[in-house]
This record gives sequence, C-alpha cells and structure tokens, in this order.
Amino acid sequence: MQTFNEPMIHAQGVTKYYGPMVGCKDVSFDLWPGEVMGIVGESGSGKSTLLRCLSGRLDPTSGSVSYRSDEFGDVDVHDCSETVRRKLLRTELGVVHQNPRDGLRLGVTAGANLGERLMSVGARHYGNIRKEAAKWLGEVEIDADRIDHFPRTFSGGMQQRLQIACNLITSPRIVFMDEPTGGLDVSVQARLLDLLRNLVSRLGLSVILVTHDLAVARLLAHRLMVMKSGEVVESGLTDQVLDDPQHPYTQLLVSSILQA
Amino acid sequence: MSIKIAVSNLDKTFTLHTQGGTVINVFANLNLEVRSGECVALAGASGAGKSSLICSLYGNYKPQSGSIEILHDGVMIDMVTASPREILDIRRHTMGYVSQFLRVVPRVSALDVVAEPLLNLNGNVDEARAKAASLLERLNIPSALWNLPPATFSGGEQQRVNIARGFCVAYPILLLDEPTASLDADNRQVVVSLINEAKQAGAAVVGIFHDEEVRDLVSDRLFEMHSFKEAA
Repeated sequence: MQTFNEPMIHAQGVTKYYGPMVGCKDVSFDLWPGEVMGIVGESGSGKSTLLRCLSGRLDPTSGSVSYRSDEFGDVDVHDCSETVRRKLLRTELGVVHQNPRDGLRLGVTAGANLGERLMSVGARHYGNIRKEAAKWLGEVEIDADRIDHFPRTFSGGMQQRLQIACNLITSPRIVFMDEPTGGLDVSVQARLLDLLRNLVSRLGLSVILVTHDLAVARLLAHRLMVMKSGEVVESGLTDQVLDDPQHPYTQLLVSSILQA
Repeated sequence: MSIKIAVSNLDKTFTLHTQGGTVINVFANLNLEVRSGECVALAGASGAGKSSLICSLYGNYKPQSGSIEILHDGVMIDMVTASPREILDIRRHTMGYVSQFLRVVPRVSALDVVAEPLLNLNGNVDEARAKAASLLERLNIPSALWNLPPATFSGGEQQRVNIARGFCVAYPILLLDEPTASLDADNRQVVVSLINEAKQAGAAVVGIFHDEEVRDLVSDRLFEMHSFKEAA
C-alpha cells in the first residue's frame, strides 16, 4: 500500500443549509491515499448532501474541500475554475451513483460509454480505446461480447459494474460512491463487493463511500463517520465504531441490524 | 528483553444508551506489561473482561481512560489515543489477532483469506499464497478446500483457517482469543508449536486459553482478572 504523508482530501467545516434546513453541518476530516472512509446514517441524515459537497457537485454554504491533485497541486474544489473542476471530474475523480442510469448514457453502447471517458482525457486511437474498453469490461466481469450492446439491455447489477468501469478506466485517485450496492440482490451485491474490495486495494484508491448498510461498511471501509441530522456524531476505526459504539445513535444503528 | 506492551491504569466501561443508560464496568485501573518472547495467559471466570482486554489492546474496543502503549517501529504508541490510520498501520505490521470466530467474506477462498494480511504487507501474491498454503497444510486443512470460500466449512476448519490467517505475518505482538477452543488434540498441538515458535522469534503473546494443558504448554505467567461485580 502507498504511504504518502499528505492527505488526498482535506475537508474543513463543510456546512450546507437548504434555506433554514440543515443539510450537513461543520464536517471536517482528512482522507489519506489508499484509505476508504464510510459515511453511514439513516436516510435524511445528510450523507448524500455531504458527498455532493465533497465531490464538488454542490457548493457548501461554508467550509472548504481541497484535493491534492497530480496535475494542479492543491485545489480548493469550490474555489477553482470550472475548467479545472471539470477536468478533475473526468480524470482524477470518479463518482459512482446509486442509480447507474445517472452515471451512464443509455443511448450509446457499453463500449462507447467507456470510450467516451477515455476520449475526454485525450485518447484518440480507436483500436486502443476499444482494447482498453474490453479490458475494463473484463475487470468488472462483463463478457467482452457485450461491448456493442446498449446498457439498457443490461441487468441492474451489470449496469452498476459498467458504471464502476467507466469511472476506473481513467485511473482516478479518489472515487465517491453513493450506495453502490443499493437495490441489488444479495448474490449480485456479494460479487460487486468482492470486485470493489479487490480494485480498491490493488489500485490504492482513496474512496468515500456512502451507505446505510453497516455490513457493506464493515467489509469495505477502513474508518467510518456516523451522521445524524446533518452532523457527524461519531467517527473512528470501522470495527471500533461497530463493535464498541459510543454515541447513543450509533448504538441504536448497530443494535437494529437483523441477524441473518 | 524489551517491553512490547505496557498497559497502565486502563478503565473500560460500556454505557448502554439503548438500555436506559445502564453502565457496565468491565475493568478499572488495570496494569500489565508484556515483554518480547513472553506469553501472558489471561485467567478469570467468564465475564471477567478477558476478551474485552484483548479487544482493547487491538483497538477494537475504546477504553474510557488509561493507556495501552505498543512498541511499533521502534517507538511506543498509545492505542487509546492513536488515529485510525496509525492503528491500521500497527495492525498491518506489528500486531496480529486471532479471534474466536472467522469473519467470512463471500467469494473469497480460504487460501486468500489466509494470505490477505501478508499480501497487504508486502504486495507479493505468490509469496503470500505460498506462506498461506504452508500454514493450511500444517493445520491439516485438506488442499481440496483451499480454493473454496470458508463459509461452508465446519467450525473447527473455520477456526484453523482463522489461526492460519493470524500467523501468516510474523507479527511482533500476537493476541489470541481461545485459539484452540474447538480443535482436536492433533491440531491443538500444531497451534501450541506455532505459538512457541512465535515466542522464540521474539513475539510478545497475550492469550485466553481455557484448555489448561495448552495454557501450561505456552504461557509463562498468568494474569488474573476479577469480575468487577465480584470486586464491588
């Protein structure tokens, strides 16, 4: 594993109000290279708002988020030019949406979805693009002969895997994931989790993972932040937060899991 | 012999907020030192806090006060106040833990479950798998099972996979929570040898051994723990 001595993401006092309503409030943390941080909490607790602020898709009311970019050095994602932000979102950052249809273009083939991202970073040679696209289909366990099929002919689990491939094909360093296994049946979820776990550790990705599923968090995340009503009520090492939760809300969450 | 673990004035309580704020005192003012090459067996009745102490040493439980100094990379680091990142680094390089039960991950083979800690440490797949295979063989797991996920294995087989995983990296500090609980005599003997080899290599070991025969074979001294309820 890589051991750099600078955080990849530095978030300071990130706060978002929707009018008088709190989206998320005063969230600060550092994320290090190769580290996976889970954000857990019930729906409406501000997880997705925070994720959108962190990935630069939503401007916070106050606070700052900076990335350590290979190309641009330290970038404040809410105080940089649109050009830089767009370039980052195509290259060094990836966003995996809960609904794969939000991250894919359904009107073009799987190969074109993959190729488009490559072309947006300057790839032009058709043969190379197609070869790379086929390789990434393989990485996410989709048959290479589906390359010319439209994603709408794919099952939900396949679409989700394609969306992940579309993000990873340009070798991002930070990936934001919003409920990547939500709505999938358990066997597909197990396969996707296994895939994510391997890719994350092999590629040394930094990941921020929003999930309400504590088992998913335990499997993938090194550390957790627990959110309630927009605020982080507890954070720490994943197994410590889940096995010895300190905050009443975390205890309630952990004690509410059904034993299969 | 150098001190590898130094616990001082450690307090652990659980506050159950969902149960009306009930407070359970586990241990208070606990002091313990463990040196290189030494095995300390935690003794005491069920509920005396033995597993809670092991979990606290591993950073899995969060003590209320006191310190747990761990010799990591030449310096003493306090597990109670260390950041998650430091604790993960300590677990990767310095401190291994064999829990009572294997946590199985869907689709991951027994061989890879065992190889994972060494792979995370050195990134060498072949070396990690070779080491994993030699441990599984020593612990009498038939090679036909190596490529299967351990979810369907028997309790004893899962425990042996878990032990192999714990010994895959030659950790300077080892925490063992009833490693021989559901093993037959032959496999118990293998575990005893593994522990004694680790000690000879300089590891500091803290363990819970209900099997007195095993305890006598591996431990250098007992650390008695008393239930807080008794003491009060």
